[in-house]
Amino acid sequence: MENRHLLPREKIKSLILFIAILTCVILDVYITFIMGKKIVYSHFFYIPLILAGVWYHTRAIYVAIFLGAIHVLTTFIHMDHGFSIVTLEAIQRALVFIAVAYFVGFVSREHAKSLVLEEKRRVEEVRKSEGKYRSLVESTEDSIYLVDRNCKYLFMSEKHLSRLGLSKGQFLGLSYGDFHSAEETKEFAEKVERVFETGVSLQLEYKSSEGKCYLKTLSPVKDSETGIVTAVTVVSKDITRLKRVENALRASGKKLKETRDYLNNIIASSADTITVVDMKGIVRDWNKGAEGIMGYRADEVVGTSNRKFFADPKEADRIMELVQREGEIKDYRTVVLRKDGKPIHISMSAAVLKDKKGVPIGTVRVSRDITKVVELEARIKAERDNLNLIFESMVDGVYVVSKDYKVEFMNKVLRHEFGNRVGDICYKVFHNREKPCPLCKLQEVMKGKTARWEWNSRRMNKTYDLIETPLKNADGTVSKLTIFRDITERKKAEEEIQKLNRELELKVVDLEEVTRMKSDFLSLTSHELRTPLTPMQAQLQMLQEGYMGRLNEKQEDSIEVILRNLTRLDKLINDILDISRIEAGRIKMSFASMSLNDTVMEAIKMQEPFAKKKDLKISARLAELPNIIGDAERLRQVVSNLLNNAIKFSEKSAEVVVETKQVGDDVLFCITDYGIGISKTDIGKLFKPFSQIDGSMGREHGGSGLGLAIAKGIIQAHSGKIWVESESGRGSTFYFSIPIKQKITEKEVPYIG
Amino acid sequence: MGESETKTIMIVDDEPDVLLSVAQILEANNYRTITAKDGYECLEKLKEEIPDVLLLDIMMPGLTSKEILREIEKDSRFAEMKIIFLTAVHMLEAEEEDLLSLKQVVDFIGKPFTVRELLDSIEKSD
Repeated sequence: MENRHLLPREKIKSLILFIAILTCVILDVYITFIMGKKIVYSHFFYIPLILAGVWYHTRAIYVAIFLGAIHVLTTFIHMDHGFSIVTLEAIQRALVFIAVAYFVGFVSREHAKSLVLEEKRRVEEVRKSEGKYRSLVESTEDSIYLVDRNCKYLFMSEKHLSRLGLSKGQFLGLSYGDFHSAEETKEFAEKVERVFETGVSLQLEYKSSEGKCYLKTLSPVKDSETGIVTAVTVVSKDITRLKRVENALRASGKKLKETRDYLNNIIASSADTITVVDMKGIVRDWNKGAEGIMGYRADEVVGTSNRKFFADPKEADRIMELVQREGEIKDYRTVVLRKDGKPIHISMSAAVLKDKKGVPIGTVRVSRDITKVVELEARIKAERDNLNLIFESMVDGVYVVSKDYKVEFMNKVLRHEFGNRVGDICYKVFHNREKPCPLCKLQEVMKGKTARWEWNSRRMNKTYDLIETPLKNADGTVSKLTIFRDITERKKAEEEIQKLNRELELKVVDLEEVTRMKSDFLSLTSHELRTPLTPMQAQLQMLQEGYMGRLNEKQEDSIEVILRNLTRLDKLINDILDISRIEAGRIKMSFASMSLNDTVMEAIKMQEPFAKKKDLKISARLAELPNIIGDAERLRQVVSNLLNNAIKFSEKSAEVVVETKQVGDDVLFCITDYGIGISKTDIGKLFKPFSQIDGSMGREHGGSGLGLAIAKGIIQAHSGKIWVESESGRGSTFYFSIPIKQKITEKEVPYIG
Repeated sequence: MGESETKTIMIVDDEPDVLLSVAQILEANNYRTITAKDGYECLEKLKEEIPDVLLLDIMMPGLTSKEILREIEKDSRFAEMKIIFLTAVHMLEAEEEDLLSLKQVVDFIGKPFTVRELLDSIEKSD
């Protein structure tokens, strides 16, 4: 630094000296040769001698010898007589020059010496302190360099030298621009300029082309005396790693915040209780779920002991100890108390919470309300206990087997036979096998199926009826419950019965044949019975109608009696035929959509003459009815029969009321008379064939005693019901009802006409 | 009765008394009658003359009514002849025997019959 400053001054010094010597020589030559002065005034030679002496110390003698020689030479040449007094005088003067030069040089040297010593000492001091700084500079990881206003390097630390790939001293004459792009240089130069102007430090970040990052601190170097900025130091710190770490930190910080927000949300919205309890059992955190389940708000419990939550306060210590010992607990069941004192069963999972250094600072606990589960389990257990009680008292064998074939329960009967083998493997206990039985239904039952099957053991020559069904345990697993019964005897009996059944079937076939024959016989009989009736009736009618000539009154009466009884005989034959068909289940029906009211009106019309004879009034109260599916002819037969009965058993001039109505899905017919009525004991046999209550009555009133039995058969063939309500002496009401939507069981018969 | 054209009725019944009685009633009411005591005679007489109405019994020895109907169905000359059953067999049983499906069959009178029923049925048969 010092050298650099001295250089121009040194040049100026020698230049001045050179000009001074040249001027003196020219002046000497001019005065001697042009002016021709004999005595040369060489006093002006003293100026360069003094300058040289002061500046170059003893080396001023060479200048003095040179100037002296010129002076002697010029004097010698000018005199041209050769060596003379003037020459001697010139030599003398030259010697004076030399003496003066030597003196001035000597004095100057001595002075300079003392100055140099002083300087040396100062430099030594500087060097010492500089050495300190330099070692400091060299020992840092940072690059340090010094630039002037034009960004020329004035100094460079080894670090920076190696960074730029230079050896010591090579930087001289190089500037910042030689190693950086124009743009970077421009920016750097601006900053340097600013430091020069303001004298204040500043920093800038710089990213190298290799992707490295540097933080440059530009500080002014001030002249200690003037305070003027002379240079700028640059400390360039490699902050690439720092930057990377910072970026990574910033990114992970963002991620961490997101995660934390997310977790906070989960915790806040969880239906489970999530609490933090410190090592002293003080509640530190209390989420919304905990508020919901426990009834305490967070601000009521945070900072208080957690002992009060447990039905048994010692439980708090037990849990804390357990968590610390195990590190975590899972599904720990305990009972806590709500704020309102209600006990709640919870299932708790907890883990130790540690600080950064791994020192435990508390526990995090997640609990779930399992009161319902516990109640359910208790109920299942109670049910199981009940079931077991029932099983104990059963005569059938009952056992329960777990999914891995372990016997969980055997009832008394089985214990008596096999001994108490609970815990053993079922196929060993019951079958002396080493492998599961080939017919085992365990897998099926595990799938939720109930199996009922018969097991024929040839080994034991026995048959068992087994019911195997899944049984849910309190812990949610499924076991197989088996109930089995020895049905060997029953099986034998069944076989016996089957044999008998087969025999019976054969007999039934025979019987059916008999029934068919009976029916055919009846059919034939009725035909045969009717055959003689037909010409008898025809002939008598011809007589009555006068085909054979006029009859007197007595003859007419006689014929009427015969005809009446013929009709009665015919009716009897028909009734017997009907009842035999009804009893054989072979009554023939012709079903069609029909109006019951029309049928009733028809029947009334037919019975009206008989009513008139007794001066009876038939009142019909017929409601509007939907059509029914029925055999109109047969139903008319029923209604006629009931009407006929009502007329027969009514007093003279009484009333018979006929009603129809819809009741629900049925049509209802009822007929009421105010006659002799029927006693309760007689009602029972009323609808049985040949059951006229009193033989004499039958004769008095005329009738086969089959009418109601036939009516019942017909109504039943319509899927209907027929019944009577009566009070002896006050009259009777007969009812029948027929469903509106009954199925057609026989095909419809087309109307012939 | 007393129409311009006298109807001819053929009565088929195995009971002579029934045949007689029915013929008497019908003749008294101005119908011409032909009688046949069984299915064979019926078919024989049908060859000679086709009556307006055939009064047919169902349960007869020999040729059954079903066989008679089958013969009648085969012959187109009997298309205009009306058939009325006069029988002690129940109508539903007759229906079961598929005796009522022939288009010539117009009525069914149960035995014992009344004179009124018989005459009404024949009168209606046109």
